[in-house]
Amino acid sequence: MVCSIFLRRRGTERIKSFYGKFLALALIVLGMFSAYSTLWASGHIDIEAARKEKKITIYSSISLEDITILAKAFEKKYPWIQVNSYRAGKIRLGQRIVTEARAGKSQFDVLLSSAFTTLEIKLQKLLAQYESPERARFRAELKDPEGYWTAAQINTMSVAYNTKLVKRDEVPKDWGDLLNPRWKGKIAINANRPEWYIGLLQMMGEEEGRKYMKSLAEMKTIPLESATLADELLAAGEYPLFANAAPGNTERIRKKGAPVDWARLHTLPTYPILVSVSSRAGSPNSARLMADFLISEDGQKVLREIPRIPARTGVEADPPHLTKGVNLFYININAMAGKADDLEGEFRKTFGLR
Amino acid sequence: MILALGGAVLLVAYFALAPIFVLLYGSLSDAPPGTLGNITLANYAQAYLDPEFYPLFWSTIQFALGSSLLSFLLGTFLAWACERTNIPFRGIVTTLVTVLFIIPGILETVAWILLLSPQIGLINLGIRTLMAMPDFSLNIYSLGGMIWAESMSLYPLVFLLMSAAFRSQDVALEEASLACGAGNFTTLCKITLRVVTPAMLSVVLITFIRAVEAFEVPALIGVRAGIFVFTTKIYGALQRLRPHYGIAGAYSVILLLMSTVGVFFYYQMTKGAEKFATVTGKGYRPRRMELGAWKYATGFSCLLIVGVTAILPLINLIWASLTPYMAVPSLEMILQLSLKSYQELFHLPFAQKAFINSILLSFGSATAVMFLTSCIAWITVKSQLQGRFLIDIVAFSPIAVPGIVLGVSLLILYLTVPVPIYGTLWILFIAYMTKYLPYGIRTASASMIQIGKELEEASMVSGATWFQTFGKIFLPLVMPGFVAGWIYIAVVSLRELSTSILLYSQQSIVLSILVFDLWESGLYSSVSALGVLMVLFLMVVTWIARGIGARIGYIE
Repeated sequence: MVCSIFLRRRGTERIKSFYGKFLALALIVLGMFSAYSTLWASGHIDIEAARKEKKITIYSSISLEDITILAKAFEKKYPWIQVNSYRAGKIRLGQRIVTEARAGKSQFDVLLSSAFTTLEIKLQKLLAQYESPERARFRAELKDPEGYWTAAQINTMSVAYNTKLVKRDEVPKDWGDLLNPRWKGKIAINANRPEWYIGLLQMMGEEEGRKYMKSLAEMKTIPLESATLADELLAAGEYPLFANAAPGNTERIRKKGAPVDWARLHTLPTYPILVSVSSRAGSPNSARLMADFLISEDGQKVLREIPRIPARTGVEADPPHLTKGVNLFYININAMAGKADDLEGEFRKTFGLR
Repeated sequence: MILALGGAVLLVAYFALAPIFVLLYGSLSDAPPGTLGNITLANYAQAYLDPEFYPLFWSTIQFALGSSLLSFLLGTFLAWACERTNIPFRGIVTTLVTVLFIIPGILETVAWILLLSPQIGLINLGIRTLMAMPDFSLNIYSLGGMIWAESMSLYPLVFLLMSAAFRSQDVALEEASLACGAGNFTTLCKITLRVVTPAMLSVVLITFIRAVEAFEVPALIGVRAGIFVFTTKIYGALQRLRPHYGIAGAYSVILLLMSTVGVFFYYQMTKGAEKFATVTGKGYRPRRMELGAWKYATGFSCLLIVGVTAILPLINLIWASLTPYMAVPSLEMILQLSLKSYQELFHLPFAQKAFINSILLSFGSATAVMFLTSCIAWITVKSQLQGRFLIDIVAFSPIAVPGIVLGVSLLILYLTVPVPIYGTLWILFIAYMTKYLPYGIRTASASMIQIGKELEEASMVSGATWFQTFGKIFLPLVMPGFVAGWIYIAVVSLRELSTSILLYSQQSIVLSILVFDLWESGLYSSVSALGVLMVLFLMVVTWIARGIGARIGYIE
C-alpha cells in the first residue's frame, strides 16, 4: 500500500532511491537481529548488562522453600542480583504466565516447572532459545534439541507401599503386578500426576498402555487430589499401595521413620522438571546466568541437598539408589507437545477423578 | 451524608460488580480470557446441555441442604444456650467454637479424615476397642460424611451470627410471654426464634450457598466417596493448562441466580422490619433464661458437641504437629514426639513478611468491609429508597463467585484495566473485600433490623446530624453484629487461599500461601505446627476484638 502511494505521487527516480535505502536498512537490521539472536542462543551472556539488571523473577512449581534454597545459593554467587520468586502448582502457574503474556505484562524471567507446563509455555511462544554451555553434560532426552529447555531435576515414579501392610514377597515387581486381585480397592492414585499416565502410555505403547490403565481403574483405585495426602495416608496405613508415587518423596518420609518404601519395579517412568528462559524477559542476561547456575555442577549439588534428584550426568542422587540399579524410562518430552492437556483429561476420566 | 452513603454504594458496586462483569463477559465470549471475542452462547450450551451436569447438581443440592441444616441446628442451639440461658461452661463453649473455624481449611478436613476414616479413623478405632464393637464403622467417605465435614466448617459462622442476634434481644417480649403463663420452651419457639428470623434467614442463605460452592470437602472426601458436586465441574473447567473460563463463568451464573433469589426471598420474609426491632427506646438488658434443673443437661450436651466437633480436631492438629509423619496414636509413636516441626517454622522463607501482610490484609479488609456494609445496611434497612434491595443483592452477589473463579476474574481484570495494582498488596486487599462483602452485608443487615426507629428519631429530633446519629447511636448498637462480622472476616481471610494463589507475588505473600506451600512440599507436621500457632494467635485476637467491641458497644 505504501508502494502504491509512492508510485502515484513520486517519480521513478525517487522510488529507486527509496527502495534501495529501505532494502539496505532491512538487510542491516536483519543481519543484526540474526547475529543478536545467535549470540543469545549460543550462550553468550553480557555480564555487564546483567549487573545493570539487578533483579530477576523466577516462576516455579517446586515449593517456595526449595526455590529459596536455590535462590540463596544463586544470590551468593552473584550478590548484585536479587531473586523474586512466585510459586504455584503446575497448572495454576501455566495459567498465570499465559494470562500475563496475553495482557502484555509478562513478569517471569526464568521458568522452573514440570515438562507438562513448560511445553505449553513453549507452544505459546513465550520461551527463548538458549544453548547453555552446561548442556553438554546432559543426556539427550533431558534437553531440548532446539535449546528451549533443559532438565534441572528428574522425578522417577514407582509404586510405594506400607511395609507393615505388605509382606516382602507381595511387593510388586512389575507394573502388571498391580492387577493382582488381592489389591482390589487398596491402591491409591494421585490425580495430580498425569505424567505417570503419559509415561506408562509411552513405555507400553498407546494401545497396551490404555488397556492396562482401564484394567487398573477396574481395581477400584482410591483417588487422591493431593500428592502429600497420598504419601502421608500411606504412611498412616490407610491403604497398602500407592501406584504413582515419587520415590524421591517416599525416601523423604522414610527418612523420618515412616514404614514406607518403594518397589524396585523393572522400569520406572521418569519425567523432568525443566528450566527455561522467557522470550520477554525483563532481565534476559540474569535469566541466562540463573539457567546456567541451575544446571551447573554447583547448582545441581545444591539441588541434591534439598533433597531432589539432579538431572545432570555425574551428580549422583541422594540416596544413590534412587537412580542407580534401576531402569529409568525417560518420557519423550517433545512427543507430549500439544497433547498434554488431552492426555491429562483422559487420565482423570479413566480413573473417575472428575 | 449523601456523599458518604453514595460513596459507599459506589465502592461496593465496583468491588462486587467488576469481577462479575468480567466473569459474565467471559461466559458469553468465545475468545480466551483477557481478549475481546465474539458473543456466543456456546459456553452455556456446553455447560447446561452436558448430561453429567444434572445428577451432579442434584447431589450438590442434597449436600448443601444437609450441611446448611445441620450447621444451622448446631450453631443456633449453641448460640442460644450460650447467650440466652444460664448454662455452665458458657465461656469454654464459646472459645472452642471460635477455635474451630480458625483451623485452616485443609487441616480441618484432613483432621476429619483421620478421625472418621474406616481404616485408620481414630473415632472408629476408639469405639471398636473401647466398646468392643469390631465391626463398627462410621465412614467419612459418604454423603453423610461430607455433610458432617462441611457442617463443621459452617456452624461456627452460624454460631457467631446467631450469638450476635441473641445478644441484642430485648427481653420485654419474652417476659410478657412468661408473664402470660407460657413455659420456657413455648417462649423459645414462639417468641425468641421468631424475633431472630432475619438472622436465621441470613445464616441459612449464606451457609447454603457456601455449601454449594464448597471445595475442600468435595475434593478430599467427595472424590473418594464417588460423589461429585457442582464445584467439581467448575474446577474441572479451570484446572487445566488451557482453562475453559467461559464454561466456569456459565456455571457460576446459576450461583448468581440462587443468591439473587435468596436475597429477594429474604426481603419478602423480613418486610415490615419494625416487627423485628428488639433494640428500642425502652432500653434493654438481654436476660438469661433460667433453665432450672435442665441447665446441667443442656450444658453437658453443649460441651459434648464442642468436644466432639472442636476438641477432637484440635487434638489431632496438635498431635500432627508433634509427630514426624501421619500416624495413628500408639506407644511407638508417642516415643517419637518432638517439637522439631515448630523449630523448622523459624527457617521458613518469607515467614515474617507473610505474617505482616496477612495481618494488614485481614484486619484491613475486615474493618473496611464492616464499615462499608454498615452504611449499605442502613440504606437497605432504614431508608425508604426505592429498589434498595437491589443494592443488597449487589453487595451479596460475590458469594456466588467461587474463590478460584474470583481469582481468575480479578487476574484478568487488573491485567487489562490500567489500574496499577497487579502484583501488589492492593489487589489482594480488593480481592478479600470483594469476597467478604456478602458476609458483611448479611451480618450488618441482620443487626440493623434489630434497632428500632425511635432511637434514630430521638437523636435527629435532638439536633444530631446523620453522621453523629450513625456514629453514636447505630454503630454502638450494631456492635455485636459488627464485631461478629469483623471476627469472622478477619479469621477467615487469614485462611483464604483459592483467590490469593493466583494474585500474590513475593511482595504480597500471605500466611495461607505459606501453609499451602508447606503442604505441597509434603511437610505435613510443619503445616500442623503452623496451624496450631495460627489458632493460638487468632484466639487472642478474637478475645481482644470482643473486648474492644464491648467497650464501644453495648454488650453485656
